[in-house]
Amino acid sequence: MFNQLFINGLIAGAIYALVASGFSLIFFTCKFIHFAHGATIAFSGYILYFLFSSLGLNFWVSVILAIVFAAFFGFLMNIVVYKRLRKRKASNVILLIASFGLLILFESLILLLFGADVKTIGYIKIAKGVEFLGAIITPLQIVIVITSFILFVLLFFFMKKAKIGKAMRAVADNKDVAEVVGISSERIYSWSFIIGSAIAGVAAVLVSLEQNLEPMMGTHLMIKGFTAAIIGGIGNVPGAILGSFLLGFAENFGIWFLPSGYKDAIAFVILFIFLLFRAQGILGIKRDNK
Amino acid sequence: MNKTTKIIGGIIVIMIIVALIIFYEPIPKETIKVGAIISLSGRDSYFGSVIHKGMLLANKNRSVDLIVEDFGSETKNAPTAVNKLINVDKVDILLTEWSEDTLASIEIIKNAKIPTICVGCGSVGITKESEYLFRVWPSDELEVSSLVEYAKSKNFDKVAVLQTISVWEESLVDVFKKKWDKDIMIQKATREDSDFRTQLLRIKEFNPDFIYLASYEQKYPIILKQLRELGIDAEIGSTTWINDPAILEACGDSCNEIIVPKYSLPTKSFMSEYKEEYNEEPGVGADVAYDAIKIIEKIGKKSKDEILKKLLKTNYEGASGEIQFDETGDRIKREVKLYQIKDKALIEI
Repeated sequence: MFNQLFINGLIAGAIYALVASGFSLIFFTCKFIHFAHGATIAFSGYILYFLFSSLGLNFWVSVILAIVFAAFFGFLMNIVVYKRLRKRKASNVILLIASFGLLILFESLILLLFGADVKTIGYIKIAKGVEFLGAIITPLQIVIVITSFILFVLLFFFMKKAKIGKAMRAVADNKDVAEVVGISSERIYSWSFIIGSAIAGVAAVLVSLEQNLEPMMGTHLMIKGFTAAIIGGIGNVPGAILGSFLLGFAENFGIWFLPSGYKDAIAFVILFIFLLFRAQGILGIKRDNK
Repeated sequence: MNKTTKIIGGIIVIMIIVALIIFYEPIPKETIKVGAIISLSGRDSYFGSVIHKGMLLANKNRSVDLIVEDFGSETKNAPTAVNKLINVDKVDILLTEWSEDTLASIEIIKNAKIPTICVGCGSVGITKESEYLFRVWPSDELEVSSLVEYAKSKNFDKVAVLQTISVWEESLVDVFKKKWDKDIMIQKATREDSDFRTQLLRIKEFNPDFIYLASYEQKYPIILKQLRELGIDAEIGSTTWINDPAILEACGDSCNEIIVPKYSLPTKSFMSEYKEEYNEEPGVGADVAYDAIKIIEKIGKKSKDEILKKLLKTNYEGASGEIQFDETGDRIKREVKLYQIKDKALIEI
């Protein structure tokens, strides 16, 4: 039983981590909460459904197009909405409100275009999973866990070694100094949206195959991803990943002992504990407010 | 605004007025006014739109003055919508959608003494909440009892129930618990959950002979997917709402072998009329919504007391079968049969 709960927690944690890592990357660079990241995930999932199930395109072509769409969608949101607000010296609170507006707008658009009924992407035949150390895991779930780990490793090396990754860290650390040395902060913001949203596209593909599509899926995933990011340390990508797995394990082990209706309560109790006793999160750095 | 813009704006306004004069046909004053609260947006909008289509089909010749308020799948908005229909639109009769929104509005209905027909209320005993409340959807007691009888006939000893948390699902489970006298385990989840593995794991440990999915219908595809993946080997029964074309399509093969209690199928004439109008198979609930409008059309414009009396004497052969109400407003005379799903089709067992 412990093994099965561990596997369940690992799968949930991997999904939350895919959501939280893209969101955290955007926050890390742009310094505001992009709640519409959930809309990117939801919309990309529905685009995959449209391309594969409705138009009948090849599955892998549909996946690539869905991820490209996600990246472009995030880029567009930045250019059309956030960049204009930044030009008008809008505060981060205004940007947060704008992101909520975008999330609601796009989820309503999904409802209008695709309807409220649940959709499935029938690429993988449903069958009993494989037994592994007394637990059952499906091939797709193995793919989710492995893909998420590969992505996180790639993201880590990207931020450490790649020119754009270093530039992102520079802008995140001090935007003005970065500008002085010739790094265009607006260009870096665009890149962070492109990369963060592409990760959201990957999350969308995997979640759509694992959990089916619902218009409000973006909001539900964002709540968990955001919670995980806070627990791990807001703006800290490795922290967000760690926080996601902690959340996944806590929820699954927690509702083994508690009534299942307490699942969300477990997530928010952990969040409150961290906010009260370690507001900077697991890997975040405490800043003096002097 | 410059002169050209003003001229264009003026022309558009004049065109709209002319179009209204030519094409608008006001509804005669002697037409009965019907107010309906439906989820046309939000989480339940799929079934809301099915019910709405059933109503519109029945009212193609505008024999009733139908006013629809969207309460956005949020029960807390239902009383506001009902208030508006009663006090602003001055409707003669109300149509409500589900048990939750009906119960949320029941005090307003009682105070206004307005006859009300619930299209999709399944909760046991709901019509006893008010003398003004009727329902065209039969009590869930019928469908749940049929599943309990099935489990008993198979000499099953252990039943597990996976329930989502809401008024309707609680009502289903209450009936099941009252009628089942052997081992039972109940696992709960919220309607927003996407991961039911922990609950299913507990069910797997319990090793039941039969699993009753008293769940929100939109969650059937994901629940059944996770159930099959965990290799849980038991017979499975569901609510009648699984038999919706969209749900069956989303479920795919994981729906096979599910035992479904089903009321009498809609009449062939209704099915073809619906398909001709909307180019799709009618979803669950379209037939009863259609019948609700037809019953009201038959009653016609009357005082609220007369409408109430006429409703109690209803004897109508509709798209969903014969409709009669007992003294509490509950629909009687609807048969339940058990079916099994095979390749998205229902086979009677």
